[in-house]
Amino acid sequence: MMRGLAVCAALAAGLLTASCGAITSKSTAIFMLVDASGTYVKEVPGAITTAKLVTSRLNSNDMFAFGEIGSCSFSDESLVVRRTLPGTPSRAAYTKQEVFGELDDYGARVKATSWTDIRGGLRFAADELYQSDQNDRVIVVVSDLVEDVSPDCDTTGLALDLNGITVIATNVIKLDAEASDPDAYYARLREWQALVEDAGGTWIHANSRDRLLDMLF
Amino acid sequence: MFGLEWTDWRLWVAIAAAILLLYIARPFLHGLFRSIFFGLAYVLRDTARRLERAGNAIYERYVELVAAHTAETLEQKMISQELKLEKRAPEIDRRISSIVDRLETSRSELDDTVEAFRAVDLDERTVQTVRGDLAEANTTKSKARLTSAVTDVRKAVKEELAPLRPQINALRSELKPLGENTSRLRTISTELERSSKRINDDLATFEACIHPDYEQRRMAAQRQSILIPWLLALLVMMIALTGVFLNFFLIQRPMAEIVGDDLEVMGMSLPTAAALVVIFLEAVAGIVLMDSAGVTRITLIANLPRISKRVLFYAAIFFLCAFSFFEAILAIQREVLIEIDQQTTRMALGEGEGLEEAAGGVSLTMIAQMVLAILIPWLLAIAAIPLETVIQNFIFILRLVLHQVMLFLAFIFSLLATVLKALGLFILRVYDLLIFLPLAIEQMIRRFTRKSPAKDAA
Repeated sequence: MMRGLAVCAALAAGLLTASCGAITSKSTAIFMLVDASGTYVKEVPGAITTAKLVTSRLNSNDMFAFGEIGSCSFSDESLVVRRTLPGTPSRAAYTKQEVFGELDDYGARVKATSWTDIRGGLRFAADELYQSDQNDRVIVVVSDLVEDVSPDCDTTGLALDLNGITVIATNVIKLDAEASDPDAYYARLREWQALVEDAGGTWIHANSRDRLLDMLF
Repeated sequence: MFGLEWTDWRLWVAIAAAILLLYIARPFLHGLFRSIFFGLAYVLRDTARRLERAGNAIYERYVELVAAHTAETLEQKMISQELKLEKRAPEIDRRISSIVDRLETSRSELDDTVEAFRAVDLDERTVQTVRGDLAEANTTKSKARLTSAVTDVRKAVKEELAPLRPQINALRSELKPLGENTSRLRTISTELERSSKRINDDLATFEACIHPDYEQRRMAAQRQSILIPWLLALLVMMIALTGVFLNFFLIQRPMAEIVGDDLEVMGMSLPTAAALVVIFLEAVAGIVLMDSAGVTRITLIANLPRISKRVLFYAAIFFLCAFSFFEAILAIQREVLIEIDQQTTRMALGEGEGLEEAAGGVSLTMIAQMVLAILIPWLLAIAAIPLETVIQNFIFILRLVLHQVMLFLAFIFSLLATVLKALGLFILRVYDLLIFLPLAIEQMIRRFTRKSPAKDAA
C-alpha cells in the first residue's frame, strides 16, 4: 500500500516537473514606430490601418504599443498607446477596440514633425520591449528610413541594444531622387540592416502590409 | 589453370597431389562439413519445432480465451433471458388464461346453440298432414294439394327455425373471436418455441465452451466470429471519433475564455489541450456509465458491489449532464466570440457602420451548436460499447496473427534446415566425386583384403 502510494507520488512529481518544463508562453510584444516627419506624415493614416490590423490579430496577453518617430523620439511624449491585452479572448477583443479608438484619435491630431529621429525611436521601443514579459519582441518601423536629426537632439552616436528583438521595416517609400538611382534606395535599406544586426537584432524588410502580417502571424 | 596449360604435366601432378590431399583429409573435412551443415540444419529444425510449438500454444490460448469469453457472454445472456422470462411468465400466464377463459365462454355458448339446434322438432301434426298430402298427391296427382303441402311445410319449418335465428347469429359472432384466440395461442406457442430453441442453442454452445474436452472447446471457439464484430465495432468507433473531432472544434475556441490562449503545453496551445482533456474526461465518464450499468466490462467496475456500481452509475450520469451543460455554454460563448472577433476586424478595416446590424440574438447556428454540444457527451458514452469489442477482439486477432506468424516462421526455418541439409549432402557427394579414383582404389583394396583372409581360411 505504502509502496503504491510512493510510486503514485513519484509519478505525479515526475509529471508535474515534466509539465512545468513543457508549458511555454507564446505571447508577443509588438512596438510600432511610425514616422511623422514632413515627408512621411501623409502615410500615417495607412500606418494606423496597419496598426489596427496588427492589433486585431493579436492574442490574449500580447502587448501592443504605438509610438511616433519625431524630432526627438526618445521621449514619453512619442508613445501614443501601450496596452497588454487581457487573458481572455473576449476581454482582449474589447481592449483591441479601445486601442483602435486611441489610434483614431492620434490620426486626427497628428502633425508633421520637423526632424526624424529614428535611432531615438528604436532605443525607446527597445527599452519598452525589454520591460515587457512577452517572449517574442518585435519593432515594426513604418518610415522612409531617412534620418534627419536636429542639432538639439543629435542621436547619431546613440548605442543600440536590440538583442532578441526583430525589427521589421515596412512601407519604406522610395524618394523622388531615387527614381534615377535605385541603388541608393537599397543602400539605405542595407545601412539600416547593418545597424540593426550590429546591435544584435534581426532585420526584416516587408514591402507590403500583407507581407508584414504574414511575418508577424 | 593456375597459369599452367592443360598439356603441362605439372598441372596434372598438382591435381593429383590435390586429390591425394583431399583423399587424406576426407574423414576430417567430411566431419567438418557435416558438423557445419547438419548442425546448422539441426539448430534450424529445432527452432522451427519450438516456433511451431509456441504458435500452437498461442492458438490453444486463443481458443481457451475465445471459449471462455463466449461462455461468459452466453452465461450473461442466458441469465438475462431467464430474468426476462421470469418477468414475462406471469404476463404470458395471464394472456393464456384470458384466452382460455374466452374460449370457455365460446364453448358454453356453442353448447347452448347446439342444444337449441337439437331441440328443433317439427310439429307432428304438420308432418302427418304433409305425409297425407304426399300420399294423396301420389294417388290423385293433384298439383294444388302438393303445393299447399309444401307451403305448410315451409311455414312449419319457418316457425320452428325462427327462435334459432339469434342462435345462428351468436354462432357466427363466436366463430371470429374463436379463430382470433386460437391464432393468439398459436403465436404465443411459436414465440415460446423460438425462445426455447434460442436458449437451447445458447446452452449447447455454452456447454461446448466449458466442455472438459479441448476438441469440443476448440470447435466451439472456431464457430465464433471475431473479425466481423471487430470490423463493425471499428466502424462505429470511427463514427464516434468523427463526433469527437467535431466536438473538439466546438469547444476548443471558447475554451480560451477559461484557460487563456497565450500558453502552450508541449507545443500544443492550452485551449487545445484543455479541449482534449474535456473530451477525454467525457469518454471516461461514458466508460464508467456503461460499465456500472453492466453494458460493458472494460474496467473492473463490473466486479464491484452493487451499491458501489449504483453510486458510480449516478455519478457518471451527473458528470455527463454537467459536461452537456458545460459544452452548451461553450457553444454559446463560441458564437459570442466569433461575433466580437468579426466586430473587431470590421472596426480595424474601418467598417464600423455595420456594427449595429451584425449584433443579433440566438441564431439557428447557435441552437445547432448547442444541440450538438448537449448530445455529443452522450454519444461518446455510447461509443464505450463498441470500444469493448474493439479492444477484446483486437487481442484475439493479435493472437491469431501471432499464431500465423509463428507457423510461417517455423515453416521458413524448417525449409532452411532442409536446404542446408541437402546442400551439405551435395557438397559431400561433390567432394567424393573429386576423389573418386583413390576411393575406388581403396574399395578395391578393401574387397581384396576381405577376400584374402576368407581364402586363407578356406
